[in-house]
Amino acid sequence: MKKGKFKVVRDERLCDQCGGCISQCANKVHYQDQDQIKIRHQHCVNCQRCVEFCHCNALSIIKEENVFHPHPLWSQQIIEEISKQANSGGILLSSMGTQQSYPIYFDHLLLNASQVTNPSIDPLREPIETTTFLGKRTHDVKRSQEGKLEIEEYPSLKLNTPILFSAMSFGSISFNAHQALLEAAKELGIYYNCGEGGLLEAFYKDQDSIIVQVASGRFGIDPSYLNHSAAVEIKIGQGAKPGIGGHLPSIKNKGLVSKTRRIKEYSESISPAPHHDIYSIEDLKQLVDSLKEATHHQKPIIVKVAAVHNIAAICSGIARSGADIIYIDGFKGGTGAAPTRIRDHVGIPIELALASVDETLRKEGIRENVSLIAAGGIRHSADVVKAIALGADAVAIGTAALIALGCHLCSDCMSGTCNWGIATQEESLCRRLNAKKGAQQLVNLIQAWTREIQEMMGGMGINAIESLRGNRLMLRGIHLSAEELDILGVKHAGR
Amino acid sequence: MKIDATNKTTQQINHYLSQNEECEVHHLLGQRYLGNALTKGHYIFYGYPGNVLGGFLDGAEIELYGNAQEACGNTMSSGRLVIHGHCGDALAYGMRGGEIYVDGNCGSRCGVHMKQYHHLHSVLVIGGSAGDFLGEYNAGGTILVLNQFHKALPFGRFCGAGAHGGTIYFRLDNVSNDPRFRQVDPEQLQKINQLIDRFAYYMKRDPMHLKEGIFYQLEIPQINPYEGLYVKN
Repeated sequence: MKKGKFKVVRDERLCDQCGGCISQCANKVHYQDQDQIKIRHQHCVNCQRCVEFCHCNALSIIKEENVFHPHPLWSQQIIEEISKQANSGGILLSSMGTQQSYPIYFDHLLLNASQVTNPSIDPLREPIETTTFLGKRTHDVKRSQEGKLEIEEYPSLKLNTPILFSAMSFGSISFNAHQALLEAAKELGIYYNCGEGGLLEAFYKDQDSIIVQVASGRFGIDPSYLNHSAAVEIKIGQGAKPGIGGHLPSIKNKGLVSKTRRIKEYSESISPAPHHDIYSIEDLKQLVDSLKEATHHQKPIIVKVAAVHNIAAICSGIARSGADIIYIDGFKGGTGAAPTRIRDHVGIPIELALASVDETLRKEGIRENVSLIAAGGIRHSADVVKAIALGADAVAIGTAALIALGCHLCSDCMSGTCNWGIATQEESLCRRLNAKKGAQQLVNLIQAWTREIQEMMGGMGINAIESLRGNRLMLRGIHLSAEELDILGVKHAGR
Repeated sequence: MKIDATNKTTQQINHYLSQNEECEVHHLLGQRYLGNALTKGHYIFYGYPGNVLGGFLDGAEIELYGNAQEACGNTMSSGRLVIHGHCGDALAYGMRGGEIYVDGNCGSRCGVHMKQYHHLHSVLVIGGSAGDFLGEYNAGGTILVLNQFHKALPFGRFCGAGAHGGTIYFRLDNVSNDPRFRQVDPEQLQKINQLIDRFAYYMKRDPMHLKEGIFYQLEIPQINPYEGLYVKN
């Protein structure tokens, strides 16, 4: 198609022709033609970089005005996608979470508040506990022959607030982005996840705030990597692309990326769809146990899976595999790159998956054997509270964290020319992200969310996050079918 | 130092191994995860350890007189495993460096996603034959299948499927016309002979008869298997 999705509008009355837009745009949308700055509209991905950096306030980006013949079935997007595939024969690839308009169940759930019968708590006056422990819980109380309590303790993660940063590999996002996430996690008393691209050696000293990942590509993994962590996460699947592996193109695999992944420079960095040593729950148990053995039984093991149709049965199996924490990633989760059709059509929403898993684990009497982390579309503190009330112990955020760092969600991560210095490895672009400032923005965001969570909990008359976990009485549904309410385990509003 | 593994758990044996850099372990029977993540030492095992022998190994040497089970040498970084017996499935998965020598046969999905990086170059030498999916997704390293038991083809289906790096050599008794196979050149033969010498040294036998026959290399496209597969939406 000749035209792109966006159009850059320059107000010539305000523009002083400084050329700032030319230097800011890595997509070469703005260019100098003799004494005039011209625009290649079709290159624009709507990252808003030029708009934000135009000191004359002369730029704005609008949707391309050119419209195709309106058709209820054959939308403009469908026509454009068919055209792309007809010209290339390629599988369509997209970045970030799905843009399809599936229901957002969090928006159909309403929270409770105390009125008269149960006094609400003012978080400014009374402490409201948000500290969360993730891992297997001790539920057998035994006494020795002398009558002393014998408590078997399991390795766990302690979070000051029930939020973690989700896994994003070094390669998919920049060094500065990783540093910002790690510094923020340290300050907040939560965890940074290095993703499957290995752990930067510069971060080893902060191992108490780091979760390391073991994915099917096994990049950067050795005993030192495994032990420079607070927990080890086995990545089976990702919400945005369940059943699909990963691939960092050879062009991005150079310098520090290659060193961190410990693979040859400019070789393809491919994570196969399955772990070829895991074909069953028994095999998963084997990897869980061997990782525990390799880390001297000091670290909790997380198993991350995408939310798919039989997620409750799958998580029941994972809980029995000896994993300490299950991370469920809903299908609205973000990605650096995923086949469009997989991203938009495979998996289920986190709200339904979470409610179903929590209920199944409770029914089977194994809920206390594992903690649940919910992810994939957590946008604000109310989503966090709703997820915890549906059964999560904590949530993980990826896209929201990137937005806090400056991402404008242009969804062009795969091109590697992120103008905000996040999803890129180009040195000149990476420098645009100030890790210290980014860390502060992340700290601000999570602190603000924590205060909001405390306010909502206080309103419900709950003073500890533990009492909110799985407390579905605090939720009511609206605009939901009986089947949906049944799965979510909540009553309709008014009942 | 000698350890009797009878009635001992994995954790007990692994504790001994971490405390003693040289020791023999006798009467192993089914204990899994032995030698996981060991960084130094030389150990000789007798018996039949369970799955994931030498997983995440990073420098230690383990010699086993017996058969190894599944996932032996899983995600190994460096060190050496010498198996005087057969191996189960998923041998050397995600191996980045070090050497594994197996006297007998091994199961399916062996040498999957092997890699190399700088001085680390993974080496897997299988004395007998391998099952399906040998060297699948390979990104680096070397696999040599010596076909001691003279099978017509020393591996099963889908050998090297999805591989985009590394080398798979194997020995045949007769000339093959399979278009996927290429007879090795003198330089490659020299490398193979060096590997055979090492294999014979560890297996304590004469290398000469292992060098007879015709050596082939499996054609692995050293390119991005996803090249041209995707288009930006």
